[in-house]
Amino acid sequence: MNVALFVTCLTDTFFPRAGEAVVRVLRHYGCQVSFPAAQTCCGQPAYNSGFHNEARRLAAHLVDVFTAHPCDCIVTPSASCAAMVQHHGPELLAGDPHRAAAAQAVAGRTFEFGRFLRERLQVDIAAALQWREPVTFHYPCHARDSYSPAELQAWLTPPLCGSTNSGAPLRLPLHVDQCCGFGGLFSVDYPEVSGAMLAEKLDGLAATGARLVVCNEAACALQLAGGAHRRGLPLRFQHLAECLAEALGLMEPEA
Amino acid sequence: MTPDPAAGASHGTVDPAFVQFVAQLQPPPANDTPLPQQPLDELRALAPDSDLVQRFTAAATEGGWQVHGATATTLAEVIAGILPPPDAGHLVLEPLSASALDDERAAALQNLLTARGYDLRRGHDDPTLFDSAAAITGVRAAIAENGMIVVHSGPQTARGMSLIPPIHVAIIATHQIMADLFDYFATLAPPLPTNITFITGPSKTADIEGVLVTGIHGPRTVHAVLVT
Amino acid sequence: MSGGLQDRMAAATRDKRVIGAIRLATWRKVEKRETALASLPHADDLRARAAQIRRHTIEHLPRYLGQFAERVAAAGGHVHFAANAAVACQIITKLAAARTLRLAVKSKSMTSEEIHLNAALEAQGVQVVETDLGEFIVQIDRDRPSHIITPIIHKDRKQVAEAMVRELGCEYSEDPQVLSMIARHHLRDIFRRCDLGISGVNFGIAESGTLCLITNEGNGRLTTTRPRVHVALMGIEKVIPRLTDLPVFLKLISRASGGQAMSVYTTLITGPRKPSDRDGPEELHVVIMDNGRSGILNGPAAEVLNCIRCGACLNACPVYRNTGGHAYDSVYPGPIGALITPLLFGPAHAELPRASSLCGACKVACPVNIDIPALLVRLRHLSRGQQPWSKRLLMQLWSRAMSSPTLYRWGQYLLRGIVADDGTGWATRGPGPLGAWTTQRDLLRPAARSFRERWREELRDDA
Repeated sequence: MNVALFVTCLTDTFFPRAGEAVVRVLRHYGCQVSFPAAQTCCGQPAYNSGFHNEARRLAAHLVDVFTAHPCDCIVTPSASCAAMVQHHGPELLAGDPHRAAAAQAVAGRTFEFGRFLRERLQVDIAAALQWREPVTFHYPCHARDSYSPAELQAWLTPPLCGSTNSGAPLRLPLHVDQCCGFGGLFSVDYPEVSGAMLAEKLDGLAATGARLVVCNEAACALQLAGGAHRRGLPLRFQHLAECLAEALGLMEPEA
Repeated sequence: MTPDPAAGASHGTVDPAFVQFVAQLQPPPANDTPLPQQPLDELRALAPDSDLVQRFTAAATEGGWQVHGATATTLAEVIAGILPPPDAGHLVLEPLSASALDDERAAALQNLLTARGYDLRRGHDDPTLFDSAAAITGVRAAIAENGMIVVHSGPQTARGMSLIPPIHVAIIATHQIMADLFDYFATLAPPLPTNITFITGPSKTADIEGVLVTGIHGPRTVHAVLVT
Repeated sequence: MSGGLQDRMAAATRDKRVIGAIRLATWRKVEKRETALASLPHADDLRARAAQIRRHTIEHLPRYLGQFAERVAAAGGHVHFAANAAVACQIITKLAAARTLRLAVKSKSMTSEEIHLNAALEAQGVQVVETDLGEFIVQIDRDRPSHIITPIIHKDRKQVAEAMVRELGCEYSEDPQVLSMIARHHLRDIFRRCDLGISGVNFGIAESGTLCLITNEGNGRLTTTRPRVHVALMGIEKVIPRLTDLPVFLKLISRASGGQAMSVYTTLITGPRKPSDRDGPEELHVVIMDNGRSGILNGPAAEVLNCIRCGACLNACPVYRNTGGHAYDSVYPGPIGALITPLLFGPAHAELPRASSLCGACKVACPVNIDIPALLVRLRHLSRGQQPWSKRLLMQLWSRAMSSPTLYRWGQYLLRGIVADDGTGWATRGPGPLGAWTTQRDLLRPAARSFRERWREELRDDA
């Protein structure tokens, strides 16, 4: 299958290792991966702040880039950017005679990474994973269209018996779908509120005792890792793709 | 304009300004949402053939009712056993023949309570209700799904009976138990009584730090006596 | 104006005592809601049904309002219309004056809070007593409710005890049971003497002209039983078509509110006391109030009128949980309040929809499936012109830059250059607008090599 990677601006800039892991895992499962170099941002920060004209400009650019690029599917490590492309792109471009249909087509071909592995490649994620240490997870709020908290939990729970993959347990945070407090511009417009939400969330993650947090969203990871670093909490944040790439021997464990 | 209640004896009034206001509201859109069809059988919480007495008892107990079983012959004794001693104050008693009891049983209950020294009253006003020790009423229906009773106001029944005395004893014939809230609403037809009240337990509040307190305004203790 | 909300919310997060109490209370309610809905068969279908009934009703509001009024009158009630808060207060104060009513008891009603009814009645010499325990404490402590269902969620028992000792002259106790019984005793006396009862309305049933009132304490029943006049105040959106629609909502509303299968008392009132009734008010007046609602009706956020005021979205909201209700400066706080407050009370509150991370917990919680996050974004869009010019300009420039691959790359380099590296890979003081970020958390330094550099140099097939 020909897959075009939509890496997203935050993964590109802050978490390139997650992007690399996505490429390696997709190749491992037999995909041809390409990266349209003209891609930038999906426009979500502008859309969520109500600046829809500005968001439309970016949505149009994204649709143009991926329409010009032949592929079967577009895969992205971010569920929130996937939701932006799948729902709000077509909504913003509905009145654009040159792009309305293309926006629908791009939306239909776009998948969040985990969803893509499960649905299009029929990969048993849980069976492929292996934990060397206790692990917990953060459920990104905007993943609801791509996977539920229960699905994410199932993906991260390797079969315990009759498998070489059984390992350290998954430790559930007390409130599995609690927001990290990022919220785009909200995090700088309402820093104290965002910070209070972050503190509450980090307390819950730290209480699990696990040091590795699976976090499939660069924006949440930026917020959570920044908060953990500020407080000196020994938490590490990894994208599901990085966990898989390490378990499959495609990447060296992170130093 | 304030309508004058003396103008219409039983029919009320509608402010013409309201009629005007409604008339200028926008009509429904062309692609409107239809009102869902009924009945709602596929949304029932309980199958009609569930064990209703068992389910009612479990749900009512959870809601804070003290549930007692009785037969027509033991009813009077069961109720006498629940009540505070006669010197705690007078009882208010609804004529029960309409619901759970036939005339004979109602008379037997009354006779026993009188013989035990209880002061039985039929009043519905202050101070009869406010100074009473307990109220004994029948019910219109009981709902197994969530362990609640339904009382109607009417010529025999004041609203205050199940509300003002500190103890409420509700007598429920087991055949009055319906499975689902939908079943009860299916029986409602105009003209409706002035007041229908569903009661799931003792009066409750958790306003102070979420701590549950019973008897804040209504009865603190509620007994459901199931008569088979 | 926007600075006002930001400052209030920032200050609210620092009140550890209040926030601690609210966090505890809201999480407890969230867990109870989840448990209650998980044990309700067909919960999702019921929610879809409830949403459909609400949508249908709001679309056909003229028909159902007309029918409702006609049936209220047929049952002997009087229907009044209040176009706004002032008229609503005037109608009720006039009713009280014409009948020389002196002592009013109130059952909890957010609509009456909305119009500041108590002050209007008291100005006319009518004593008004709130009878819901939480509202009673708010009243004697001269405070404001901070939650639409749990008015004193922000108070602890010490504060309640202090207010009751001061105002009622009772003995000090921190036992909620003791405090509640003192309130009961005090309010019982009021209920024996009152002559006017004022309530809200949870649902108005069009086909029968019936008012549905839901309470746990029984104060709603006393308020609508003891006085000789009952005035019910309702917003125009509160109607539902049929009696048989009501159980769909009754199965959901208390579960959503706080995990009860149903509240202790659900009362259906049809008309005033009949000659054959043993008790109850002789007069029933239903004041139907617009106060800005009809303006929402045909607008882009009409869906907010589907709200049944269960409070579930407040409990679920992490912003509410970490700021409390008062920071919203509205009788309607939380996610639904962030929508209806600017819609009802105007552009002074336009900043409210921005105080959200759009996490969607409210949408998950809403028993009538209102898409609150989508509506928040819509209101943000409509008020974007009120944003500071600097932000609007920045958005313009940013979106232009980001739609050019070259400028996007330069932006990456620039960011890498300006986020100072002290050797840890983290910045503790962000430059420029990123300074707000680093008040709360450290800023991860952009990677030394971006993904696109890695791709070009080693990841691509032909690299």
